Amino acid sequence: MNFQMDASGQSGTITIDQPLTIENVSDMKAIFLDAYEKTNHVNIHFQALPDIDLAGLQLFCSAHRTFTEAQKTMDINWANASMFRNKAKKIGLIRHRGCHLEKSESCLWRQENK
Amino acid sequence: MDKQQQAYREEAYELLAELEVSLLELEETPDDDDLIDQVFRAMHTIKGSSAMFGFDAIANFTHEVETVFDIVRSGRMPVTKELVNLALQARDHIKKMLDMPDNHSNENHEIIEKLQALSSNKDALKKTTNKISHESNDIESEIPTDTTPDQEEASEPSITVTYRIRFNPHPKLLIYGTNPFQLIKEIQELGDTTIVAQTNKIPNLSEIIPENCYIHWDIILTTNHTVETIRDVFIFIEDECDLTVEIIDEDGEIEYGADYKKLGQILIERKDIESNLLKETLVKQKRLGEILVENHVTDQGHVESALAEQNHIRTVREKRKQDTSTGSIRVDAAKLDTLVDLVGELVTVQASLSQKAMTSEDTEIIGIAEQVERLTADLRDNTMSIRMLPISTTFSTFKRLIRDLSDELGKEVIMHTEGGKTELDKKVIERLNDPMVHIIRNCIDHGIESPDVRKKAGKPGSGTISLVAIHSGANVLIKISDDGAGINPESIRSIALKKGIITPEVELSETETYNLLFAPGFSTAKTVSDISGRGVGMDVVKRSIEALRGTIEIESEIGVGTTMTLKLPLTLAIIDGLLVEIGKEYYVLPLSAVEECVELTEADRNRSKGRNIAWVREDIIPYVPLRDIFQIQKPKPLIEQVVIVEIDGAMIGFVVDNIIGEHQTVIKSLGRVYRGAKEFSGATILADGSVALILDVHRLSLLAESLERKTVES
Repeated sequence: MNFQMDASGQSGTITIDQPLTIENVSDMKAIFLDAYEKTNHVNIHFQALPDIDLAGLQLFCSAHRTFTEAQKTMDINWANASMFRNKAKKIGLIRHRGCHLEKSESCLWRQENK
Repeated sequence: MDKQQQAYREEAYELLAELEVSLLELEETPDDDDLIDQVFRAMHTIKGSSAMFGFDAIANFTHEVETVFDIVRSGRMPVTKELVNLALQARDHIKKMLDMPDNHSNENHEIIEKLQALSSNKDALKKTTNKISHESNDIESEIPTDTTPDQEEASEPSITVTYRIRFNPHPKLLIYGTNPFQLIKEIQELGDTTIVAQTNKIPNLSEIIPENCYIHWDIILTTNHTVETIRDVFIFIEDECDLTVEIIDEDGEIEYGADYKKLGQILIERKDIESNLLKETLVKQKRLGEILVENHVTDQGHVESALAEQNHIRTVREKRKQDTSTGSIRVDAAKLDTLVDLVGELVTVQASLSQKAMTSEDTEIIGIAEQVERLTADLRDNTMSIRMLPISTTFSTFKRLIRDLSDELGKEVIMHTEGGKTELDKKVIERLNDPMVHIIRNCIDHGIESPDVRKKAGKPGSGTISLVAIHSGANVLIKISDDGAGINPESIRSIALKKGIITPEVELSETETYNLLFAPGFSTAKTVSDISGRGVGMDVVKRSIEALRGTIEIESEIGVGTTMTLKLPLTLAIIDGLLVEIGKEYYVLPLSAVEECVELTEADRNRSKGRNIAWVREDIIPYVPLRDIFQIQKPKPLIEQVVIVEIDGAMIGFVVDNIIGEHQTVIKSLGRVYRGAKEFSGATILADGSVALILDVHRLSLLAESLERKTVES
């Protein structure tokens, strides 16, 4: 799990390759904050996501919202994110409209954005 | 075999079909608990009913497979391709055992041993990643799940109630080791649920304590369990959350119809907004939910939740309405066929009655005949609709075929379907299976390239086969497309020349060239494979489709792909026909094929100088004089009629004496004596009791073509 600035220096990538559960959400928060400090655009790449729990999902929501509020962008590569999608669906996070903060309709949990 | 055993077999076959679909979907989304549950339930039901009806071998075999899926269900074993492969093999073996006339079939120990080895393999078992899992997780997985659905249902109250559950955990819930996923899962197991997680309390990154719980839930649950049972789910955390459980709908409220409370009513009832604020807001013209959010009366999450509740209750009430008004029974297909035949007879008798009534000039009899006509039409439409089945029933079987064949050939193929709800007569669907299997085999074998070749061509490694069904008037179009290499018309032409199917001087359009693929013995495959390419097939496919009174067309582009379009009638029992007369004999042409009718006068014949061609708005249309084909000696009228039909994209005319008009044609098969008369696809009885033959326009055109050729040669 790490954050790296891309060669262009304009954006960065957070690579996730381990479970995002309550045991390591603090580490993940630090990575998100680091990315937030250093770049206006971050890509999330799931190299592997063996598991994600509620703490992990709500941290993602918080990070996405924080980026959006600051006019920054956070893009998720959904290619290896079936675990993320399924868990979000199971817990009732997937919805038709995003929260009131999501003026750009880019909410992480919008059905169309999956 | 007694009726109960027959019913058991039918149900088991249906469950096995569902099981196959679930397993194939599970392969694509291995984390989907709903699919894992579906697979487990199918196995469980097959096991239970097999034991009940004395099919012990099937019950024992299925029990072993079910046991493995119980381990998967408990989260202790992941879904892998190997597991899906073995489960599919097990499903095939159960089907084989069911196919046996007796129930003393052998168990396949090899599959069971492999499954057991897989489930006992420590490496395959999931390591628990969440160390702070809810205590009841482990307890649940150890509880034997051998209670039958009947036993489970026995303890439930029969009234179905819909509850609104508002579950608001305290921040430390996760730290204390509670797993909300498990709680939600337990609630879901109680009935139909709509779950909306509220995210409005999640703070920004700088403020969030990631181990705290900020999400709260609104859950709408329709169940026949009591409030106590629902509260029991939360019993271990009742001090760590705020929980309300309210009844919002129950059986007996059907008099209100499917409609449910308005959004504003729900929000006021939940105390999410005040009624005076709602009234003020309603003055504006936007959608209520948008207005409320814009005015910060409530947030989007609460609106979403209220809308979810509204939708849930509407669905529950619709379902309840349907359950009380319809229900379903299982009927033997042969009985349905008899019913359709009888309705066909009735349509004929009714036509006869209407004709007699019109000639009687008795207004009372005419009135009764009109009533009978209306009722017969309704009865006919209703009866035909009973035999209609969605095409998805056949589409789903091809998923397995595509999976297995692509594996065998080392190709990657994704199946895409559209229009699965399109309905066709049961008989058409049954007889469509073999031709479609052949076409799909060809797509995978000859069409879709191997992943390496595709990547070199700039295509994604996985090929796609699309099955699309759409209505087109009285027909259904089924398009089978692949994004493979396409068909090279030059190769087709050179093979056709080599095989003597065409001569070098023949010039063919692209469509005509593709149609050569349907010539008997034609094959473009350079090697013969087990999958296709034996040079038999496409001609058989075409004949099978034509036997269904359908057509097949090919479109292709090199490097882009191929589409085969099957045009099929909705039903085989009754068609709209065009009744015509030749020398006092009656014939019927399928109305769906008819483009237009034009007159043929002596002057027209002179203009074409002895050739069988008609001039229609500057177009030259060849025609077949049916009088000559059928060797009718009676004198022809001065003005004949040409019925123009479309065959394989070309227009061709059939010359008849008179056109009587449209006719509801109840198709009767021809007797053995007339089996050789391929130009007739059946017969029908007219209102006066006489018989009219139904013309097979395609075969008639071929016959006319061959007669013409013989004349030219001689």
